[in-house]
Amino acid sequence: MSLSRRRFLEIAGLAGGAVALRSIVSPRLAQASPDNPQLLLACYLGGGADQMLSFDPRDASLAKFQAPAAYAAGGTGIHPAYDLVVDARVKAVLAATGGSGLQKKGPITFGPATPASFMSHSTDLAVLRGVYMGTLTHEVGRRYFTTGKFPRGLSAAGSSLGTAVAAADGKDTLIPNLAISAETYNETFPTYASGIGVNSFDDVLSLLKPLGTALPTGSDKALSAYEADSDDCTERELDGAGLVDTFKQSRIKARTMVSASASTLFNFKVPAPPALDDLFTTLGIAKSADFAGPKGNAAIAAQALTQGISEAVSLQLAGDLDDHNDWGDTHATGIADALDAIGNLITFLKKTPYKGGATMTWEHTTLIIFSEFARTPLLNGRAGRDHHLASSCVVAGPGIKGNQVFGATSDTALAVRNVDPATGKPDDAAGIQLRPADIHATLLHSMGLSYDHLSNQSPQLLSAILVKP
Amino acid sequence: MKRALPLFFAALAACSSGAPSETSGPVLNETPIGTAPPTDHPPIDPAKKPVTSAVSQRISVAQLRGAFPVILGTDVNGKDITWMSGSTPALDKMADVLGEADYAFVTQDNRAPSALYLKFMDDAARDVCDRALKADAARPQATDRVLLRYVGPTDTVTTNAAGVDQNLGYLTLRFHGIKVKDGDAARLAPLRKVFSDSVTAAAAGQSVTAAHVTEGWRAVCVGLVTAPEFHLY
Repeated sequence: MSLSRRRFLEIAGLAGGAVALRSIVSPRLAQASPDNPQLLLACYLGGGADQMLSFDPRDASLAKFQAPAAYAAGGTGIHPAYDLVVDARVKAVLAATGGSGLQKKGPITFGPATPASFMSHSTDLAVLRGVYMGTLTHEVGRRYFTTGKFPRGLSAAGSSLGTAVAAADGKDTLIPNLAISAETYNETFPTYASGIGVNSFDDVLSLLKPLGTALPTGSDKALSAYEADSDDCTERELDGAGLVDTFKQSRIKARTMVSASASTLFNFKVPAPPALDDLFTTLGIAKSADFAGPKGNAAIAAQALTQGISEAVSLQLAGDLDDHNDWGDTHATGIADALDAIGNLITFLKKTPYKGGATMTWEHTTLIIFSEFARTPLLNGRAGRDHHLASSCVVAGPGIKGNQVFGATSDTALAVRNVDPATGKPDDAAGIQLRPADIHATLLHSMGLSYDHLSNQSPQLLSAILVKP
Repeated sequence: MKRALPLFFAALAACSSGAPSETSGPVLNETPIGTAPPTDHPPIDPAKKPVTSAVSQRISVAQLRGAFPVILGTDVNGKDITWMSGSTPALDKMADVLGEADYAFVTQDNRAPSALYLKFMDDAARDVCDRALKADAARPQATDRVLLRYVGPTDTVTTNAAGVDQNLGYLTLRFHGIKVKDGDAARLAPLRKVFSDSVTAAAAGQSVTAAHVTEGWRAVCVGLVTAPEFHLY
């Protein structure tokens, strides 16, 4: 499977065309410290993932969820159609579950495209159902969930979750905010927190290694001294909006990014060098082609997080889920491959010490898995599924209570249901409509970070999933 | 105006009729006309609010494409100097990386001077400066040279201080569009130190050769290309 990302390395987009030159938001650092870093892993399933296959399933063995009853007037309007899925893994689950497709792990029920490698971490995971996306447009939904703010037209508003996390503790990190085939935005946070986009390990290497011949050490030192002392009137004239300051900070960051030792961490090849053997084995990387898919992206994320290269890593793990036609052919495969990569990545983070220290990387990692929206609960005339507003996501982290489901969708037309944020139970009368802003705020709060930049969204903390509400 | 010289050169290149030929790029007239203007203001007191412009911005990728060949001239093969990645112009290959709109998916240039942009400008500076130095090495006449216009290949601060300063002033004008007043040695002191320290480091206690001096001008060139005055206007 190849990700459909079209672009190479990208400069972090500045949302809405605004040019953020100086920090407006001062990140509050409560829990994070050098001894207790707060890391973020944001996983994006691109194209609009079918939630019934993964995080919000329905029992396909029930007549009300089968054709023709589901399509009839007064019917449920929900047809999981798991039997139409070609992927062998889903077929195996159907056979093992009597056709229901439901995989129950404690209080969480997963759909048939959820692999065992992912479900093995269910006690850490909180599944949030009934997330109202408010859009059926890919770019809008993607940017909405990326920033927690509804876009202005197609243009992102606000800053990525990873940017907010990197702003808190990433000033001295090599690549504080790494975006692997994922969009990233910075509207109000310091420049060093801006995401740096890569599409492959080769891209990472081009960041960490000088292209061409480096300057001799003596010249390099002379230039560094010159740049550090340089403060003439011309620069000040140009600096009315803080642009020269930003330029100089970026130049320093650019120089620190070039690290021979760090570049070796991403020197991926098959067969794996000894230092990468465990990583490749855990992620199931066996051939060079794996580097181009979710396994390769997961490997970059693993190295960036465990080795202290990045505070925040955003990555796209599926890129072609927009299956308006023949949904049964490849959709489940894309989801299963992505979740398998995430599950194996979590496994690696759980057994790999953070920066070689005494704690495991997973102990510091907050996770979110999302897509821009869901897919319709009924098949269209082309055996495909169209865009659907009621989505789901999965979160986890040291400040998140796992092993639970929060929120719900209805059994009629898979509609969003209001939820009581204190209990996570559906409350159609008095509950709130779950939105990306609420999820962003809750995750940042769980990490001890400010979510002031979301204040104009009036975010509601989801206290039911917080270890410390 | 003086700070917008790269932009001016880019515009000049863009406005010329047809694409520049491989052997005859736009001509830069660096001969001073008249006397140097006075400095804009008295020496800066850091404790006071600095004089600033209202708005400034980063040079675009299109402007970089125009500026590199105008400022750095042609290489040993007579081709316009620009940043190359193998046989491909790197500014084209990495246009989206550097923030250029493609008008298919991105309709607005991203001109943020980000770490990613500066990282690749570091790479670009070393590449274009190397090409310019190699081209200069093949030009016996000083007037034909781009970087070593007022100095010889072995001139140093010790052997030709006036020439080095004159060359630094010329390069400051050429790269940044900033005209340094004649005799303003203090203005040139930081760049002179880059040059002399780089030469000294390259020589490593041995007799200074042309190769060591080249390292000095390489560092100066890279310093000028990676300076805010080159990229902001």
